[in-house]
Amino acid sequence: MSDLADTAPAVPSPILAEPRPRVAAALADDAQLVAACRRGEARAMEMLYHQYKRRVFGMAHRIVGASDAEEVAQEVFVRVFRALDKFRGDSALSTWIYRLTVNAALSHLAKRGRRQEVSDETLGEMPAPPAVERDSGLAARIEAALGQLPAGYRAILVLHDVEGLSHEECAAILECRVGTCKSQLHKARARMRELLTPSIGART
Amino acid sequence: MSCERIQEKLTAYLDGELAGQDGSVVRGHLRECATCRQAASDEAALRDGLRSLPPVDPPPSLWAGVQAQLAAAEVADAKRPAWRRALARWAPSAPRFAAGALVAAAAIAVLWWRTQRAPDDAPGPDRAIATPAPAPAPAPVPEPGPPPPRGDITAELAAEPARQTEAYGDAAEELLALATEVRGTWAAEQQTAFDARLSELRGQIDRAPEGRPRQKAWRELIRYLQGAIVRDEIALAGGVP
Amino acid sequence: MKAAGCLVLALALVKTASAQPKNTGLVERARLEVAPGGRPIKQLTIENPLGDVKIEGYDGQSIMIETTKTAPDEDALDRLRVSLIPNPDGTVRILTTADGGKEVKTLARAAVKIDLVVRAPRDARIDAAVSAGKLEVINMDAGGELDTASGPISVRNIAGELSTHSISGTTTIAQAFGSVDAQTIASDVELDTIGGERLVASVSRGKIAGRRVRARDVQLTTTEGKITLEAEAPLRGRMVIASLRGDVDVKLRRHGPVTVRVRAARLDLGSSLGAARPGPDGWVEGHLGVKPQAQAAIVELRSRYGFVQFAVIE
Repeated sequence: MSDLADTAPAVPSPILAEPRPRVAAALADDAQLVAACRRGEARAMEMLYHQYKRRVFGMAHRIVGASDAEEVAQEVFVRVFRALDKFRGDSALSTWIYRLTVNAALSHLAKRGRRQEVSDETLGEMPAPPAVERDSGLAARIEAALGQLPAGYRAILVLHDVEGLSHEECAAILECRVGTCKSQLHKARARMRELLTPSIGART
Repeated sequence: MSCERIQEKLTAYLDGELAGQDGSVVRGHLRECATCRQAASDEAALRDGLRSLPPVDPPPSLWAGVQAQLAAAEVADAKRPAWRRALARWAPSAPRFAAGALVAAAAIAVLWWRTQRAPDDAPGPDRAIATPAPAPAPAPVPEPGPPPPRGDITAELAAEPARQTEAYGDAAEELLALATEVRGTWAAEQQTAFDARLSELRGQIDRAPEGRPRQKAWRELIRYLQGAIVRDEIALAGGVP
Repeated sequence: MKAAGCLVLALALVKTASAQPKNTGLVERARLEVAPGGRPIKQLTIENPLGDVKIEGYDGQSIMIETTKTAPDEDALDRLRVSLIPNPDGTVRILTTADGGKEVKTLARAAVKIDLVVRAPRDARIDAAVSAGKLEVINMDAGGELDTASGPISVRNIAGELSTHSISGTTTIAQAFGSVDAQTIASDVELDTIGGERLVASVSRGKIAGRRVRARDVQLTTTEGKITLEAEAPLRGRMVIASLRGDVDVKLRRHGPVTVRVRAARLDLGSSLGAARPGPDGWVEGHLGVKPQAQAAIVELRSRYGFVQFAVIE
């Protein structure tokens, strides 16, 4: 049930325009899972949790930072399970859960005030899986730069670029127009490039 | 097309969203312009870097925390409907009994109940009630593990304290409706005293952990309301017949 | 943790479990004795949401517990637990619960039952909570706190401070020699031979009936439901018998002077109070005996929408 593993795309050529693979919304499976969770089936709830834990926790982690990520993720899952009855199925379950996550993370930040995330802290508490060690230099720099972005940019970057969602999905999650989504993404990436310049090209 | 315009389109281009001629225009520009090529290369590197960020694994305590909060929230739920009903009854019925001061006072009371209830939506403070009493030595009371199937005895037993509390809440609610009637006959300072005491008792209920302590707090409220309604204790204290 | 040591020993020696098939399923009975570990047992807490509890005081030092578990099958029986938690401070807790099953098979609550019969030292204070089962306490000297949801409460021959609470279980208290406080929401309270300092009973929807009540401070309140009381008025005592919608019927036996104040939709004060008439404040006041103001007991009767009847038993 590793959500990221089975959706990780083959890295597209940086220059050639290729359609990005998207997270396939397994609507039928979701409906069954939701129904089972509504019936209070413990296994279904656990399955749903494991299916979404990395996405929810990862988003929370990258938007609010390491120290508050668990709190936010917990809040999100509690809301998910408590509000499943209200989930009407007119959007994909993942969209709905992402929306709850983004909203929870952003409102958490708003509550916490405009305190900027300390990037050292973010890096210090980042787990470093051995599989990505080869790339850890760039990954760490990207995480650090992410921490310095305005929260809204962080959200769109994480949704679109980290999670690999389409603009349509991002728009549904962020409850904005697709065009807004695109321009936000463009601005966010531009800001990131500035933060990472000049060293970004030094990738492996 | 200027470099600026091209760079605006870069994001869409890199994401494969520029079809046909638009794509071709950008591609053509990139072949000739080193600056834009660098920008495109950077953005692509960034995008790929973002896409291959390692997943962040949540700590194992996350699931336990979710379950504990869910349990707490379910328990907290059980009494909420009583309050919703109490509010509904208290609010619209107030104008029927008296005009002027009473209506205003009732509005204050309604406001007060509502603000008092609000924190319940965030199950945080109630977290403690999800944890049962200290585990007994020979056969420990089970921690709130995965929620049991509905209709199972463990689920029913877990829900029972909250259900009982709700019954007390319902009884209090009926008395509150009656209190609205008599309250109008009291002097202003008696009404204030009544509201203050009500607020105090309400606070006690909120602070008491679910189960017998909270039921006890409800019973105290019920007794107080009965004293006010049936025995006219408030009116008598103010010297009003 | 001496107490715990003693407890475990007694449990191992005395437990005699026998499983026998019955029409309803399986019944398992067990007996165990909890001997005090050093200190006498001062407080006994019992929480049994799964069946009846009967507590009987006796003159010994240990607690004897007889559990009867009823379940449809062996698996269900295995899920029923009775826990004992002895504390070195002289308190003992008995809890019943149902474990989560190993399999997804659900077990209906109505299918199982745990009944407890407990013999306890008379001077232990009782704190017991029962859900739909009966809660019965007999011959205890240190009072206690008794709760049920819908199960009836029955207390007989009790001293010390007693308080009982039930949502919809009929509460019967007889021969109480300490203060009594009984509260129900939707069930009756029956009181017989209450002799403590204070008697407080309140009911939202249900009757209160008391006889042979002799307490200095009596407060009976119902929102809806009749109150019937046959009581003695002690010197300088105070009685407030009040209902919103229910009738109030009080028969008083008196030894000294009594002041009676009544406010009701309708009233019948019999002949004893003579020509008592409502005053300007709406109260009807009358005096019995020679020195009304000095040592008089005050009896206040009220029913906003009901009928108040008062009589003196000579």
